[in-house]
Amino acid sequence: MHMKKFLQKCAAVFFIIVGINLLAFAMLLLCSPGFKKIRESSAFRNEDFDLLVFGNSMALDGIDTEYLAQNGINTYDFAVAGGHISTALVQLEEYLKYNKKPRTVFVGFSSATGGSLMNKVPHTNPEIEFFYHPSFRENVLNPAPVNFRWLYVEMLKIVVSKDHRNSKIVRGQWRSPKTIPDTSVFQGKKSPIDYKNPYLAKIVNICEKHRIRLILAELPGANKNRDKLPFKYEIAVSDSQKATIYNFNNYEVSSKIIDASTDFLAPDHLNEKGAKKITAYLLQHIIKGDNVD
Amino acid sequence: MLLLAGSYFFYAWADWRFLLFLMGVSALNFVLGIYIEKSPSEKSKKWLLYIGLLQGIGGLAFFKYYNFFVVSIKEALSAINITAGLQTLDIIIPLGISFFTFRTISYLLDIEKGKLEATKDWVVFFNYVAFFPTVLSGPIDKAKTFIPQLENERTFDYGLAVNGMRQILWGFFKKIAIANSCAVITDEVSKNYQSLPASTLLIGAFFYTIQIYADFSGYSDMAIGFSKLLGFRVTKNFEYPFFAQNIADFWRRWHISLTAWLTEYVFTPLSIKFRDYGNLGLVLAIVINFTIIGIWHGANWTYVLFGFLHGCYYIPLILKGTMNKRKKLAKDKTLPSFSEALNMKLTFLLVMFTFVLFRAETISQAFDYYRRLLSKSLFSLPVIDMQTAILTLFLTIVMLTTEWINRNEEHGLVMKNPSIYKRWSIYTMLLLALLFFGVYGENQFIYFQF
Repeated sequence: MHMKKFLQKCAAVFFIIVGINLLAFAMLLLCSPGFKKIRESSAFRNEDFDLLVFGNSMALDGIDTEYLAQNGINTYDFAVAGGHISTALVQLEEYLKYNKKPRTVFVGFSSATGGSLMNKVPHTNPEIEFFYHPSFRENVLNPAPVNFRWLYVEMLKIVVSKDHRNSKIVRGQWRSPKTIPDTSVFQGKKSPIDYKNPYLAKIVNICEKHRIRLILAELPGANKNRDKLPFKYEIAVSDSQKATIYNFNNYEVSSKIIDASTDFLAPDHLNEKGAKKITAYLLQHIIKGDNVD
Repeated sequence: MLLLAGSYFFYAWADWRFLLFLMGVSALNFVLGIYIEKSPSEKSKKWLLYIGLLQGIGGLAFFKYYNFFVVSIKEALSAINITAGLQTLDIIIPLGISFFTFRTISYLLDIEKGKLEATKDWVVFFNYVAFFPTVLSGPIDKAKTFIPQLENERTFDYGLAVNGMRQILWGFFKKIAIANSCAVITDEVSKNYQSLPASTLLIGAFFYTIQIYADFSGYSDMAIGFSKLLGFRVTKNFEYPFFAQNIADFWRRWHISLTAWLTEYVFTPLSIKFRDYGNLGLVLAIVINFTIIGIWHGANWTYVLFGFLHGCYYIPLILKGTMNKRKKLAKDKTLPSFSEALNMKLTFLLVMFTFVLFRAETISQAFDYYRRLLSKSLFSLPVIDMQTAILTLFLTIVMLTTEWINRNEEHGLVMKNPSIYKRWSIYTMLLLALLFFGVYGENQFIYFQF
């Protein structure tokens, strides 16, 4: 009798744990813009985008997909906060399996914030793994509150911050009106960046194979993190492959395009004004072929 | 038998390489126990006891301390320009050796002194040595309290099982939500202490003290809780040590099973031996006792100094004659008095100071930490992940407040006749904290290494 009562209570605790996890997961599905975006993009079938954007948070905020769409380029931003280039590869491969090939792929780099996108130790984001490589075992061992903890922090920010509430995801881009002036000072960095990376090399290969135009670009960071490297130059992505990179993190060029006092939402991250300016330049001078050397 | 199979499976799962050693130790001490009891003469009893002690202390000395002795001797000789040909060995330490060795030693000592009858049931004895909830990290139960429980038939005790489940939940909360969160901070501070300001080092030392408590007492809570589910009452290991009023009070509350063991088998015989020397004899007995406590933790001079310092902390109490004075804390009051709160803080500071030694790899590293800690940058802004630090501090406050409320109870989650809503709200809150604030991954229990 007592044993039965005890086991019933253990079962109740078990159901509370399961209930909390299911509730937490439902919250993510319903309220987390980032999670909803990845769910949406992983389920694309027979889409016909002209341009796909990949990268981490700098690309997530920094390319104005709506502006491109208004200018006749159907665009979707796949970038994921904290993303690695291996994440971009997974997303691109999966997209090409089920959808029409895009005309252009844009990969936004973030050397301004360090080498996380091209980190030598690759990692795929948990939410990408969750939607692209679902595994029941992983979901049980790593339930939503543990696996996607930072997304709850992001949701909390939406609750407490008006700026976050006024931000939204449009065509995959995180559009934020928030403005935090960048008061940092340019320090003249010019050390070369190592782009040799097997995942990037594979993206280059895929684009060549499918005859997709690949645009690689460094996105602009805060003044102190910008550099003196040329705006356009050739890089090696492997011992035998070369590619061209457009360096929007070049201080001289980026200073002409964006205004440090109005165009940032956080250090190294562009708000919707900054994103629009960079995108307009990208469209006019690179996508449409009116190139600058 | 099922319990024994389970215990061996658990031990082998943690590290299978020393399962045979554990069985061999159990077999030898089981036989020795019977023969000590049967022995007609005191002399032969003593000889049989020495065999047991040789195995126990010899095993510990070899596995845990051989390389430490060799390196220390070599260093001492090289200081006087003598080169010794001693070689260190690539030794793997059997898991839980410090814990199960103390169990077998106390068993033989108690039989030899006539305090305990040797068990004739090998399954009972083997279970006593290898009991799975406590084999890896204690508490160190004495045979006289634990073996009778193994010999008696057990029936399911609903109250005990519910209490055990609560204690397990509380232990998980302390380990996963607090100790592991502290580890995120302390690992970072420890790795980069040479480049961090003193204010950060102070925060690191504070969180390490909390970490080691939450880690070890969390494990003990889980071990005791699991034992309760099986119907066993395992000895208490912690009694809210951060509410201690002085260092003697602290050691009455911290790792109780170890201090009780050493008090019975080391300190008491020593203090009797030295009683003719008055306070000096008492100081000597305490310092030796605590140096042994220090070295019990591991083969490193940092642990020796840790124990020695704690022994020295007792000197003012011995001189004042307040070492054994116990007073009920905040009796009939919600909050501690000003002097009680001050004593708690001072004791905490003294303990925190020594845990720097506990964490350091060498004494010189510990002294380097102290030197940097006591610099001008103590008043500068700390360089730390504020989000993690604030969250961890909040969880620590929750833990300490809960334990303060339950300071007269067995563990932090004892509830006396709470309403169903209150009870289940607390369970849900703790589960939420575990899920949302817990740090999961490769964080082993600190005391597994001992």
